[in-house]
Amino acid sequence: MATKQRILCLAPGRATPGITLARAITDREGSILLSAGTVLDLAMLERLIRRGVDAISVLVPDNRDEATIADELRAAQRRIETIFRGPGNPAREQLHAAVLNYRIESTK
Amino acid sequence: MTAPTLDQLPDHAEALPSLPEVVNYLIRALNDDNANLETLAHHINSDPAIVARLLAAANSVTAGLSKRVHSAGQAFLLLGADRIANIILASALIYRYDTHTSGFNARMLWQHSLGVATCARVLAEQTGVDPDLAFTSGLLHDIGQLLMHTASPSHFLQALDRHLNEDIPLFVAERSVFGYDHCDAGRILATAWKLPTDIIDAIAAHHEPDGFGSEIGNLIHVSECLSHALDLGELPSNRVPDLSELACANLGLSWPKFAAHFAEIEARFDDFRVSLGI
Repeated sequence: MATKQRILCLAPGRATPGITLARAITDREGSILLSAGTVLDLAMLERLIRRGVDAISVLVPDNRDEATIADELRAAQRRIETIFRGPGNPAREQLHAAVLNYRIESTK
Repeated sequence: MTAPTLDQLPDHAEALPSLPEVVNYLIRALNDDNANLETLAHHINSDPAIVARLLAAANSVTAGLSKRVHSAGQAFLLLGADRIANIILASALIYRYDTHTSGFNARMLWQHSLGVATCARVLAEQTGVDPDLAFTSGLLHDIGQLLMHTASPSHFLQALDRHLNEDIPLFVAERSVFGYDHCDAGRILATAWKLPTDIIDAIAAHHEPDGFGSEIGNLIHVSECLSHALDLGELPSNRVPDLSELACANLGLSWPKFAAHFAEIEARFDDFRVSLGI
């Protein structure tokens, strides 16, 4: 069975050679520098740092079982409810919804 | 004893250490097209402590590559002037104003400020605001707390206590103890430090921006709320403050769209925090 993978976003200097790109890297004009699926070597990572790329999305093995993921989801949702506690205005509610959705999607 | 009045704060501002020379240079360079790399390199190389912190940060930034950076010149080549400027600015502020007393830890303030600065830079990149101005304003937005703590540690600790025990925003607790808040105090300190008007506006407007009509004020306010919402720094007492609808509208911000940058903000904040050792 193929190993399950998840997407992580990290600074290029924190990635290790051999890691696979989950999403294409584009420059400020939108041109593709490296496409999704590229296995990054040391020279590529160094070039990304020099070009001022601050964050990349990569694939990492996901060894979590379903119960662990469910626990993490519950903990993430609890934390969001804690930091958004008390009444808030409508703009804060929109931010709340966006962050909750992001947290759920990135924890899954 | 009564709390120091707003009029008395400029005298207390003199008791704080002055801004490091390199920070002054970097802030002046924001509005100066003639600022150049050589002058920045000169400022950095004239202070061995700054060089040491720069090399530590540069080696941390490239930690995954197991490549050692041995000189400021190498760091410039690898990281570029913008990144170097951000690292120098943040580390010089953090180490110069490293107050640590029972009840008040400036490191937590700087960690939060770094979170706001990171959000501000990414928001600025997406909304057409100057990203360097945004980052610098984010770093400096809470300096009023340093001045209030210096002016009267006991009253500032009382405000912190109220903020934590009554679960009210710090600026509301400050008003109940001092009669003014760290936005007012920050404006006074920023004026004493002769900071650019844009940065003074950002500091003054960051909790209640609607009366100011300042683009950078709106941006730092939204960055403040976003930094809390993404839990950058993970303060145990973290609570997301009210967000100005007008500030979001003026920046043309749509959360469902901007949410695509949340992961990037977290990655950039983590990288910065680890690089600076805070």
